[in-house]
Amino acid sequence: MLDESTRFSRARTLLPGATDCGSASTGTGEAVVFAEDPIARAIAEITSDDALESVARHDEPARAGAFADWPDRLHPAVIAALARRGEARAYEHQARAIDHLARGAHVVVATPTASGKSRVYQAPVLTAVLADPRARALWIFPTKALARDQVEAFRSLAGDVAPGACGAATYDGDTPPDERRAARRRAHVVATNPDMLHRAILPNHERWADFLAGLSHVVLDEAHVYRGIFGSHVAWVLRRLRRLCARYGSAPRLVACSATIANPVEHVARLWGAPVVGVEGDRVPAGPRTHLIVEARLLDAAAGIRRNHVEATRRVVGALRRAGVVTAVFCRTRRRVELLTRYLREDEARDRSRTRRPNPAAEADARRRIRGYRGGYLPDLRRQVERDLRAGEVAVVATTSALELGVDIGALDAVVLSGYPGSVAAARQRGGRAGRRGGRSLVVTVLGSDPRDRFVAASPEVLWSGRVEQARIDPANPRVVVPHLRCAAHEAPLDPAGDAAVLALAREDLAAAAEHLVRGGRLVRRATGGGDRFVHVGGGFPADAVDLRGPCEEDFVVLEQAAANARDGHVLARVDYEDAPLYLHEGAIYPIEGVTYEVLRLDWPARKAFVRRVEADYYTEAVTRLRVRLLGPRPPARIGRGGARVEGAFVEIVRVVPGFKKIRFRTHETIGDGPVRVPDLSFDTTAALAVPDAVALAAALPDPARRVAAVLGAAHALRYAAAFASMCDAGDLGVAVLDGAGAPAAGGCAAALDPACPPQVDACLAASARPGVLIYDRRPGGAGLADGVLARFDAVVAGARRLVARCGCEAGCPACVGAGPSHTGAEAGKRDAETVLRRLAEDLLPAGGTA
Amino acid sequence: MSAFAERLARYEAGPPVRGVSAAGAGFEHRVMEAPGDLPQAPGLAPLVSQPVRRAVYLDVETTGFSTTGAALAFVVGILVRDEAAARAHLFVLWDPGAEGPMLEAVRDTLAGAMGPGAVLVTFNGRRFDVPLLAARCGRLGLAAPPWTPHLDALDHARRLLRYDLAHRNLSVLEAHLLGARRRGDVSGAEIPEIYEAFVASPCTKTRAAVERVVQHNRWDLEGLCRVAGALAGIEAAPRTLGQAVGVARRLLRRDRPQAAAELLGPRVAAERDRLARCRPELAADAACTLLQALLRSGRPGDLARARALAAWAGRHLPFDDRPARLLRRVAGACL
Repeated sequence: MLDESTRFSRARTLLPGATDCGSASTGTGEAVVFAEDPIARAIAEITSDDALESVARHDEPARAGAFADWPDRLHPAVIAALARRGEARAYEHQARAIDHLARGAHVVVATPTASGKSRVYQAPVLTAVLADPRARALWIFPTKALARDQVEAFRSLAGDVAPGACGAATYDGDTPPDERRAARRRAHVVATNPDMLHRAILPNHERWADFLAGLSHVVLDEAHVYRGIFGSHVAWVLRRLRRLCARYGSAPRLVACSATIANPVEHVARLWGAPVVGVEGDRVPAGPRTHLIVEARLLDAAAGIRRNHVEATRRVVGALRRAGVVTAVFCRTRRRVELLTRYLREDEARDRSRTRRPNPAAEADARRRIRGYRGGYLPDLRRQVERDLRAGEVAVVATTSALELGVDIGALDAVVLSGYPGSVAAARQRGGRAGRRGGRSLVVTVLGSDPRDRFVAASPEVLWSGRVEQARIDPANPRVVVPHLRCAAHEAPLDPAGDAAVLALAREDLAAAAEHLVRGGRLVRRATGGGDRFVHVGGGFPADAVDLRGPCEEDFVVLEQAAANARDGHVLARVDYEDAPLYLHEGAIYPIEGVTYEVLRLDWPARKAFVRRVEADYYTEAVTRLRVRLLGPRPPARIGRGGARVEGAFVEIVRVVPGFKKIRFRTHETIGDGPVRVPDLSFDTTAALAVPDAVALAAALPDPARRVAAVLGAAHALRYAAAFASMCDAGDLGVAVLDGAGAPAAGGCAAALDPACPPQVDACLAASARPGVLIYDRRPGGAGLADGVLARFDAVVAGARRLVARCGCEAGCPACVGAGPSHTGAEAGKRDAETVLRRLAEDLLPAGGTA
Repeated sequence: MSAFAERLARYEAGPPVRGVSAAGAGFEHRVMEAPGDLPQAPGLAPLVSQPVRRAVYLDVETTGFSTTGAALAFVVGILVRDEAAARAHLFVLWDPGAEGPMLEAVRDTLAGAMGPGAVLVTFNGRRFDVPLLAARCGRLGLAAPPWTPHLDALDHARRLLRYDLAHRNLSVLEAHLLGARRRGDVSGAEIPEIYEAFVASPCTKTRAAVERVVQHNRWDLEGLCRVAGALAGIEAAPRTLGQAVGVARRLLRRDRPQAAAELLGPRVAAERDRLARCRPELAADAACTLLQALLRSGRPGDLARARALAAWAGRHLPFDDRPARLLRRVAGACL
């Protein structure tokens, strides 16, 4: 019992009034027990705030953990080192996973945040290296930061077990050449990312011969991140890795870790291409947890106008800050992070100085205690924030999904979700950051008027009892298979008979795909004694032409102009290529941790933005428009009754940023606007276009505006159904409503449905005579998703009809028919969308002639 | 038809790579007599330290510098020199798809030429030609050709001509050792582009450019043959002090310090004062090498000679503390 109780040390220090730790784990979750508890104080303040409305509260009792001895297959020195770190006994799931692994199984551990998942691979890898110094392990993380974190943690443990016996190194784009050589030759553990594995390690496998020959474990952390097209690519990178390992005579075991998703075993088995054993369960000791869902108070019920969402979040965080509860605030956008950081610092400085005059000491203190953390900050700043968080110097950190993955930030008492993150899995993952060491914890979800938030407001229990989403990949997508087979053939000749099993593709399918490459002149067939082999033609690295995460453009750097006329200053931040027009146009206010900079000049070809520090009392927001232009038809096409049709199409997606708005801090009123002069971003892709019988549709829905609204609703449902049917992430697909009669040559424009920019009135009205739904692939060039939609169009329509019909709402909700255009009434949205979907089904299905 | 095959049928292939016919033995194996005045193989003996009856010279022209499988060897030249004749085999890959059959032919030629008394001679082959061909064979699933014994002329050129030449690439060596200069040769940097241009659009013009690369390869082979012969001559009878230092180093590596001391001793004594003024780094290296030889030789009187040499170095080469350190470390242990 003594061993277990060490895990509650944090809980005791947090509860000054509580008599002993026994009361913390009795688990009634009643506020009475914790009268002096700062969390209870904060809850009381939040629930009594007039600006907020409580939606729901849910108390989870404390859980006692289930423990087991560390399996004796682990090296005694490893068990001893773990015991010295206060882990004399293992969690039950850790012991079970290590047992499975020792029996030679591939294992996936899908347990909540902070359940000691990293021990499940650290301990067996250490044991393997101690038993045989030639053993090697490859750790794959989705980001460089995670790899570096884990290598540091592992070095500390390995140094404790047997100094100098087990070396670990990161191998990524930032690793200098001599360290790369050392990593290849000497490191027992190499931590890398899938992109590096694909582009640097596998194509140069001769240099890695010793490493691959000794490979005993492959670790795939955050496996739930590898979904959609990216996941399908990663699945093939792993298959190529396994094939080369087999050639070098090793058969590494997989240890995958995943956040809670609905299908961890199935997902990881598809990623790895072989059966895996799942270890699930949440028998981790946890303190009592309170879920609180509040929303900004409704000001005008008829129009649905609410108090400002940022203001509501600020009030909630303010209560936690005053109560001394260490809090992370997860925001949906980077801009929201900056706004909150700024507001909270102002509040903190005011509270601390207790005077109305500016107080530099208090302001400096506030800057230290209230931090921002998001993508785009330079690595140094992010490291510093992480360090300060671990050291306990930070009271509040405002962040985006950047802190969602397992970056070590120490203990948090409360998590505030400023808006529903869009999926139950992400909400769980973010909420799991609270109460790391078994203390009492609080998760507050602050809802605004976003459609996703309204969906949660209607059924708040999804946050604690809802089913989490599935992760889906499609490793049999020819657009993924064929390029990776070419890379594989470059690494070593393809042998359809011998490689089929390790590549998890049927022998004849593998041969067919190889023949496809032979026809294109990429491979040649060579007859050998043991059957045909396919070898790569020519030199070069085919892997360079395959990008796992989609084509990359160079990032922009934000440079502060040091002095007058200085051409370059020092780098403040990095901004993604696609985001640069939104945040770095001339005149934009670019905030970094609450400090405002004005963009003076944007040098587009050089990918540089020059800024200077200003004391602005406003921020800027770019106005974006998404346009979809039909370029031409593309087989196959299917013609139905009355001119209804479903066909492939080439489309061009253009994002235009015509101007920006200046918005005052706090009041959020628009105080001015200006033009933006940046190139439009555009890409071509493939799409599926479905047009119902116009006459029949007009008869069913005579009002043009309502007709378009109905088609928009149907499009929303079709998108999710299509994503489900093609086993990709909904984010990989876009939908648009367009004028289905428009001759493609004339370039029909469409109203795209995108959360970032609402559909435009003129495009909607133009489409009203003969509206069609366009489902397009959001990968430039198309990743073949449109083909999947066309091939399974019947299933897609049926799925969409089921989605709408079985949705629990009465008249349509953001979950089934989406938010709809703001100018149309959506009272009958659900019924109208069903009408459109029925028309599509009836007009197209019975005829079925393929042209 | 499986579900995957159906999807594959709908997947549009990119445009086929132009100029590449997927099948056929698209490589050429030319055999030609080499000039009769090329040096005889037994002359290489000083560099190989074993009797040599046949020398097999190898040189490849490639599409890049990667030795892990990304660069393609599209011209492989092999020159076999034995007592009777000198014969060159030139392999030209006109169709990248025929790389496998070509490498098999290369392997057969090498295997036929190598054997007892034969040595493979290359220029930078230890780091480039051999690993590149090995990697390509591995990528194509072929067994690798025999590589040993292997004499890399660049290693010896670096050792013997370290103080004579600033650069030691093949054309510099040809000019320095043989007084020969090539006319109308392609430069090495152009070669990858020439082949890429040919593969992209095979026509008379691009094919002619590849023929120039083949000619370049042939010159390289003959040049390598003559340069290796000249290097062996230097090894047998070094002319300058710098060359003698190179020879002495090899003698030390092969544990013959007395021979090294005998070779260097008189030359250092004769030239050291002049060199300490005009080429101090050569004087210092020569002194260090001789000092090592003297300290390891064990002959009576060599220790005293070493002390005297170190004292001289301390006076004339004050910037370099290696002689003093050597003396302290080795002599300190002896005394």
